[in-house]
Amino acid sequence: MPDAPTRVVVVHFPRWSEYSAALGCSARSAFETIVQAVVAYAPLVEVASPGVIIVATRGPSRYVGGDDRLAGIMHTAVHDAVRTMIAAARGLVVDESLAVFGVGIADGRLAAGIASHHAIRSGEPLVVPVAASAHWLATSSVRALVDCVGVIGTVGAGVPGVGNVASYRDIVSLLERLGLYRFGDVAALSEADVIARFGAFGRDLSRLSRGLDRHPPLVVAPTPERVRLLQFDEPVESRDAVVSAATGLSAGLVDHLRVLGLAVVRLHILVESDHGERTERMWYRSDGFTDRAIVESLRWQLDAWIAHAAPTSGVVSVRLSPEQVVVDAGRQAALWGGERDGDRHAQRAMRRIADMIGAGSVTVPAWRGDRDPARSFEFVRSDAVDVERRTRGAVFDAAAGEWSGALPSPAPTLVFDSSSDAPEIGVLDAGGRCIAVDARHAMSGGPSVVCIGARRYDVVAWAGPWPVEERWWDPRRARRMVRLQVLMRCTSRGGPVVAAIAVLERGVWRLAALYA
Amino acid sequence: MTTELRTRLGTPIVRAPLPVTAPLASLFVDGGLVRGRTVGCTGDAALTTALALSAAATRSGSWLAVVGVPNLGVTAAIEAGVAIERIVLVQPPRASREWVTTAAALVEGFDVLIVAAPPTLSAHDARRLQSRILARQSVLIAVDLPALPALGSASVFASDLDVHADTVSWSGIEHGGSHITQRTVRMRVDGRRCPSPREGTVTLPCPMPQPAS
Repeated sequence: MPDAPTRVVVVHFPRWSEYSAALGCSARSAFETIVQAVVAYAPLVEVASPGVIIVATRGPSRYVGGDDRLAGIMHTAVHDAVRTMIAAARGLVVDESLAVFGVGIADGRLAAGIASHHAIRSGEPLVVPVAASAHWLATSSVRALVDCVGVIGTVGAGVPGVGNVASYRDIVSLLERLGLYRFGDVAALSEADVIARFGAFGRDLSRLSRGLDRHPPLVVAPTPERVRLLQFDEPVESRDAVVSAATGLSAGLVDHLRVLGLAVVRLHILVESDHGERTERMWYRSDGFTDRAIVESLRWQLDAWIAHAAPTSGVVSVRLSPEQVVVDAGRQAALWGGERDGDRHAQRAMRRIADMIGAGSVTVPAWRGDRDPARSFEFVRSDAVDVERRTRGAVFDAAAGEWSGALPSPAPTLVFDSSSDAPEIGVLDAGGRCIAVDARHAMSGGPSVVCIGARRYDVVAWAGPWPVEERWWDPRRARRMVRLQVLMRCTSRGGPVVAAIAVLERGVWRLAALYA
Repeated sequence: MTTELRTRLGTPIVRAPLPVTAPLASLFVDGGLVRGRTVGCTGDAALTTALALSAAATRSGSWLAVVGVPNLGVTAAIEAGVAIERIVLVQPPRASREWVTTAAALVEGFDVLIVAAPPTLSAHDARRLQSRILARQSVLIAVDLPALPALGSASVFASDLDVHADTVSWSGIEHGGSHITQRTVRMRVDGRRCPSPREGTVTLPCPMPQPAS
């Protein structure tokens, strides 16, 4: 069998977690409605994350008579499911633009993921013809890697030599600095060169760029000793009992493979009830399943099954069959051995919270670099970064933190983005006039009073004004402002002295930061 | 009877207090943050103090969740010595019940929680969170941020320790020149778990010993 990519259809909701949060339900359970709509046409689906469904087209396409028809059917089915959900959420005003989705079919997960992104913009499903993916991909921007993280999986192993590269954002930025803007540019390089620069991920990157899947397809069926089957003597009614019984099963499977130096990346889970009802689903994890990840997937699958198919009797068997194993490139120790209990508990709690309140509300800070204190760090959704990897590498390099024009140390503890959510304030001189700053950065008077909302503060001391001019070469993005550090005392309460940063931009003073 | 029970049950496992940076540690009777307790931080340097208190714990492997604090200055957290790879920011829904459910679920995985309570938080829900903290042996640091009108007061929690931190002097800043280089904070630690109040003056951000690597 040649090393050809699997032809898949990708259904992608880019803003699913926000949408489910707006509906007031958990991202996973809400997504099951959509999954059930797809399962009606393609029984063996893979839910990569809440918002992403991946299905191999081979069977379903042949059944409905072609990829174009399959894409159309999927699009209609998902569209109807979304309509039903919105209709069911009566009384809730939900921004429907959050429920945008795209359906794309192509050879290989990356191409199909990008196709689904094009489909989001056009509103029509997009089908890339058979064997045309590599050519089609060559003209796509490498930035698509960031959007397709849910489809192709996380970066996984580290990239040596370039510091801590934990996300596709870092990889894209590196690629662009190397002058590689399109996948075609990367594909033109020899695989050895890409590996030399990007380490273990380089092999995957090179394969992806050439239109292949990250892992070569499986040539032979999984050997019987790798299929793990758990049979219960009595039907088990409780979900938790099934999950805890399967814990040993998944640990056995992962241990068995680990001894051979292998890791499972694609797993098929089949659960059957006493009355012959069954649920099967495909699971994919680009950096290999840990035993905890298998149990987590099983729990998700059982939840969905109980909620939507309502099995009429207890579970009699659970089967785990690894559909695809890869050589674990010697990162087991780092991935599984070097981890502390605390890290594991924290990650589990984060995942649970992200499921409860939406992943957008659980964030981790990532260094971006800016002279605006509110922008020097961005808050990355916790599901978009590999938190496990963060704990192993330095996230923040102190040397990288020195931006000319950044606020001097000590840094303020509360920061407001001075271009958006910073509250407007008044900075007045002794005569009660608003202070202006001229072209030479000279103030019209010494600041004497600061008004924040209804409160008035007497200025005790100040420093500045510090001019900030950004991107003056680009008229659309240029910013020109001055900063003033003030110490002030509330006039009415005689309270403690408060330190703050005020920013004047386009004639308006705003509160940019507080030293709380 | 009691002794017999105690021998049968064995002595309860008391986990060591979470470490606190050197200049602050002397203010705490136990030399650190005793697990299971609630610490209320008030005063104009409340958030800075909360970050300084949790810094040493994150350096030694504990995870820190900052709950409901909008616009946290991450650079300030780094200056306070917080290990940035173990900090997670959570914005729970503002309704009392949902807020507490989220925070309580976080307790399962995090040793330290810095929380700013929403104004809707009821005393009953606050107590539920505290009992979870006690059961899970984490530390809750409730901060008072009167500067942000959208937040409630930390007094909704019945704190075991109160840390009141007021800035007594800002150095470096004048009329136009230089900039703030340091702040001197007077801290007073008292509360129902503190036999005698302790006071001390600390300059913030306090220098952190760099890790050996």
